[in-house]
Amino acid sequence: MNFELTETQRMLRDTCREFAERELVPNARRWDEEHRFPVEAVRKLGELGLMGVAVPEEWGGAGADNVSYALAMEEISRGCASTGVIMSVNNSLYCDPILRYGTEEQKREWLVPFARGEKLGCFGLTEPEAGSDAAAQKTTAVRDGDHYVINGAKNWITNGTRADAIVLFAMTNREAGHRGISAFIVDLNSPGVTRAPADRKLGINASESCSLYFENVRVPAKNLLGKEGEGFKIAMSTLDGGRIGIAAQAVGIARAAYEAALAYARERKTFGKAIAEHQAIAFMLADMATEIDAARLLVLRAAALKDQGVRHTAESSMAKLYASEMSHRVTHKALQIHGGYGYSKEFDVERYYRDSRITEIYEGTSEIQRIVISANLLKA
Amino acid sequence: MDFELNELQIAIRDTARKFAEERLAPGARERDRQEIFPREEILEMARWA
Repeated sequence: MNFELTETQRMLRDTCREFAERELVPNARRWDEEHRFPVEAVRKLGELGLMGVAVPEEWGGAGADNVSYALAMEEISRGCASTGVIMSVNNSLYCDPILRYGTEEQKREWLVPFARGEKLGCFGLTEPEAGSDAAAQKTTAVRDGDHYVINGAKNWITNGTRADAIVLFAMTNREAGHRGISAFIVDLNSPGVTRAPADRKLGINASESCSLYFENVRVPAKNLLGKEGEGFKIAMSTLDGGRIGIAAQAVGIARAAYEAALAYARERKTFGKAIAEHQAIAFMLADMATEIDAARLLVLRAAALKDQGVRHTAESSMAKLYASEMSHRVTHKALQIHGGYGYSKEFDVERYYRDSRITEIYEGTSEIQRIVISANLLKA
Repeated sequence: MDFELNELQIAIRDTARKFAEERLAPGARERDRQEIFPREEILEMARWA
C-alpha cells in the first residue's frame, strides 16, 4: 500500500491544474452559455499530450500510465467538464481500443494523429434502440469483396459533430447475437455518412454529441478492428477503461463545486458570522470533502489495476457508480450552500450541478453499473 | 499509487480472518445475549500474536 504519487504523476497533475486555471476556468462559463466547442483548448491539450495520455510515445501519446490519466481527467474536468468529456472520449473510447486491438498499420494511420491531438476520435455503440442493451444493435456491416458496407444509425455520439474517425460497432452476423458484433475504424468523411446537428442538452454544453447516419458506407476490410465477432468484447473492455475517465470527470466536477462552496462559505456572513461557522454548513463541507476523497481513491485503484493489466471491470464500475452519484450529491450541496446565488447564472455552481448529472448516465447508467457489480459478486 | 498489500500484511490479515472465523464468530451471539466479556478470546488472541 502506497498512496503517494510518483514524481511523473505529480508533474502531470500539476501541469493539468495550471492549464485548467489558465485556459479553462476563465472561459468555462461563457463556453457553456454560448454552447461553444473549445477548439483552442482541445488543440492545446493535444500539444500537451493529453489527447493520448496513456498511449505510448511511439504511437503519438504521452506514454504515461492510467493513474496519470485519471489525475489529468480530474484536473481538466474541474476546470471545464465539457473539455473533460471531449478528452475522455478521444483517450478512452477511441485511442484505447485501437491501441489494444489495432494492427501496426491501423495504429500508424488511425492512432498516431489522434493521440497527438491533430485529429479527433469518437465511439459509436449506442443506437436509438440499443442503449443499455448494447447487444440489440441494428447497424449492419456486410462484407463485399475488400470492403464492408455499413448501414444504420448511432446516437448520443460525443465528439460526433467534429470527429475525423469513429470506432464503430455493427452486426456482421445477426443470428449470433452479441457474438455477431464487430468493431470497425470508420473515416467519418466517407461518402454515405451524415451527421445530425448537435444535440441540445442539460449540461456539458461546450461539448457536442449528435446522431450519425450510415447509408451504404464502404469501409475497407483492413479497417476491421480485432476479429469478426469480437466487437462486443472490445466495446465492453473499452468501457471498463472509459468508466475510469468518467469517474475522474465526476470527481473533478465535484471538486470544483466543493472548492467554490468552501470559499463562499468562508466569505458569506449570516447572523453575525461566516456561514462556514454554522455547523449545518460546516457538516455539509465535511461530508463533501470525505465523499470526494473516497471517490478519488476508488478511481485511482481502478486505474492502478488497469496499469497492472489485470481485469478491473467491477472496480471501474464501482468507481464510476460511486463517483457519479457522489458528484450529484456534492454539487447539490454546493448549490444549497450558495443559496439564491447558487441558482443564478452569475455563479458557476449551477453549471457544476447540471454538468454532474450526465456522469450518472453516459458510459453506462448507474443501473448498468449496479448490474455489472452485482453480476461480479454473484459469479464469485 | 500502489493498492497492493505486501506479504506480511496479507499474512496478518489472513491470520486475523482465521481467528475471527474459528474462535470469535461461533460464540459471538451467545456472548452478546449474556453480555459476556470475551476474556478467554482476548488471551488467546495474544497467543496468536
